[in-house]
Amino acid sequence: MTSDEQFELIERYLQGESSPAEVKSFESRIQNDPAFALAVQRHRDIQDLDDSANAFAFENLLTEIEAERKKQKPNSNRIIRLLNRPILQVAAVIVFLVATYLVWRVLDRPHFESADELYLASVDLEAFDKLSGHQDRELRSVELPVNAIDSNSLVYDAVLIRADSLFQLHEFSNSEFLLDSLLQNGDEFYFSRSETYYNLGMIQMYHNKFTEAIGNLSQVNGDHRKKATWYIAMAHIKVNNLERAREILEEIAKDPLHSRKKAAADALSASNIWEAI
Amino acid sequence: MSNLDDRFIKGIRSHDRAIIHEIYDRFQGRIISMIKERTGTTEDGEDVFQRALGDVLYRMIQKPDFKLTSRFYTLLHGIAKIIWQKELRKRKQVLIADQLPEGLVEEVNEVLEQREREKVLWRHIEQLGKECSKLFRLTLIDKLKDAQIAEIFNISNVGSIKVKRTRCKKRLLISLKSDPIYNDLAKQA
Repeated sequence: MTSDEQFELIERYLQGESSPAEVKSFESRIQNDPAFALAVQRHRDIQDLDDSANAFAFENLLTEIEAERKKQKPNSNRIIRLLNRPILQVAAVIVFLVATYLVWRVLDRPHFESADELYLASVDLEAFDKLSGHQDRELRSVELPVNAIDSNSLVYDAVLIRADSLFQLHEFSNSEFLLDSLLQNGDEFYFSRSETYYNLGMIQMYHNKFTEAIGNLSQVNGDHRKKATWYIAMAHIKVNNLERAREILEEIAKDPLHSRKKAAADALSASNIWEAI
Repeated sequence: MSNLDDRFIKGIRSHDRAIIHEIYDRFQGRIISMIKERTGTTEDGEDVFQRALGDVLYRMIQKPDFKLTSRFYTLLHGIAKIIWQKELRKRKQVLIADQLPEGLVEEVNEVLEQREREKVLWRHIEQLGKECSKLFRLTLIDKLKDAQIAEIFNISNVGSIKVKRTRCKKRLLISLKSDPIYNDLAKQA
């Protein structure tokens, strides 16, 4: 085959103009001939250049937007030069002293070194009931040494960190309570519901609350879904629902992309399925 | 998909400056915090945010089968974590043991590899000579029709633009064939 003939062949295939027999022969050749596969990839990449132009235009747009945003930030050098004038220095000191007095007298806000401290200091867990309404002023006004967009996201980050630290301390009930409250009352914008169901289900597995774990892990979708199915199968074994456990393990064993495929196959072929746990 | 997430996706697709500014306002700070918690600096965080949004997320949402299965921020956050992991690996620094969703890691790696190949392709296009590189730019970047391109090239026969394009494509293929960098990248695809 000449290079021109190969060019036409590949172009026809990529444009969807080949017959079914030609497609079959073409794809078989890609599998068996690495040099040909590379040639096809070259054509494909050129064909995809259409999309790449838009993508590079978007990247240039982001560079422009970043430059605009940097220009909008206050010029600290200018501020320092202004403060070199004596009268302005005196005025700045007076303003600072008054502001400090006001802060000390009027505002009695707690200051926390970490998100963990925030929750140690939280008066009671009723605060979570108010999350969706963001009514808890104490939580909203807390200062934390993180660069967050707004105080609401600080609260959610604190909840998740706190739930994790309670889990690490084996305080499973408290950890479970936090995540459950989040699912009941939280604003979905600030956290992943699916990931939270997964974490809650896993805590319940540790806590031997297998029926509850099955319920929550069944709500998981997206990236954690495959992992969740394995643990659902384990939970069904624990509650002696072996038939359902087998069904799920069979699905896992058939899924080429599942990380527990082999483990599921081993469990199914074991003389006693309890050996899977 | 929530209305807010839908707005972000549409804004990115249409290059809407106001919506992109909003995405920066809402999420850049959180991504920077996440990077700083993982041994990065503010500048690292800014760079990772731009790459997550521009290099990866934009390309992902252009695919016809793209479907948002989590919140917009969750996806952006996941992509940023993966990019930072790769960067730490490149710098031979200690990796943070983050739980990264397998499917997303694969997809992000695929998109980043595709982007690397695209950059190589555009370098080759610029080296093809004035006529071919101009033709590619008018077709792909300016999105002109053959009749408009023929006018720019001062050619009366519009059909000859297609012939020129085929000739330039063949030259590009030959140029790529002898590039070991491109061939290494293409073998991973």
